[in-house]
Amino acid sequence: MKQSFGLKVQGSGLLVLLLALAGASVSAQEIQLGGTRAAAQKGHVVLVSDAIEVSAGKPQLVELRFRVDQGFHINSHTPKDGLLIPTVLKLDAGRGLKVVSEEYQKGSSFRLSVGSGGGQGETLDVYQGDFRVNVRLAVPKGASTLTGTLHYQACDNIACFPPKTLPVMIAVTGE
Amino acid sequence: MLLTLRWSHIKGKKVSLSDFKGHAIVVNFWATYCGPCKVEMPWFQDLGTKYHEKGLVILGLDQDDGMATEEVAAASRRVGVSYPILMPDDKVAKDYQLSDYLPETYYIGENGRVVDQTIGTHSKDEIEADIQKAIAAVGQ
Repeated sequence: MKQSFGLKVQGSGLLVLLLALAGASVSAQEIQLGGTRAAAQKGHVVLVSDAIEVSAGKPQLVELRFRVDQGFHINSHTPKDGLLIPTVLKLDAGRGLKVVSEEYQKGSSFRLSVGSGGGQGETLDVYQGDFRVNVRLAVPKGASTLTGTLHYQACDNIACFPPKTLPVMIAVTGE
Repeated sequence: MLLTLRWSHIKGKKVSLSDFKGHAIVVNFWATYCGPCKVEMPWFQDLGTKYHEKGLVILGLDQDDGMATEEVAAASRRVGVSYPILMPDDKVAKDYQLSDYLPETYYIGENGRVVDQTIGTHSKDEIEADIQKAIAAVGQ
């Protein structure tokens, strides 16, 4: 039985590339991705932790949680292949906030399998669903904001998106 | 709209669609970070060999941002492909109206006519069917 995995792109008529004068002409096209198109406009990762309360002064361990959209995965902080893009959290120091250390959750093993014909991809080390980064953080007394970015690259079972950067902003209360 | 489709070959040679006039062409956009791309690339390699006598040309267009050509070449060798890997500039992605999604593949027949366009990995059978359509379109 023929099985379909990817998406067919349909145009209003056939898309034509004309080879005149070493150039080509492309007619207007409509990419019909169904629900995937809406998903394609999202970042696929969100920050779950939006506020933390810790004792002020001495470094405290806080857990920052992120969530990868269902059906997607991102590389862990330590992917097995040097060509793959690791997930990296960069937090800004300053305004009395001091990031002492970061510890990433271990990834899980994931192997892409395309179709009943057995197209097998490499075994990856990924985050799926919720994952956390434990941060040892010294905070000042009172209210402040922890800012930074999470850099990652997301794929689903049939395709990948370019690397993205998620802004991180967390309200911090030092007691 | 007229487009100038010229790409840099990984060995430095400039390549254009017009270089392959009279051939069925597969233009496959991929990136080294894209696992699904690397699943189907060996299939393109196999099918490129299988349909070589029928004039099929497979071209891989790398979409990595800022990666050195040597690294891209090494990555394509690791995947096991020997067909030309090209380094297009940003204009090509714009000209092809690429989605933010890899792999993306164009199957091109006579005079640059695109007979099919796919986004995401497809089965080897589907890829072969699209290749056969492109070859048939050249013969028409």
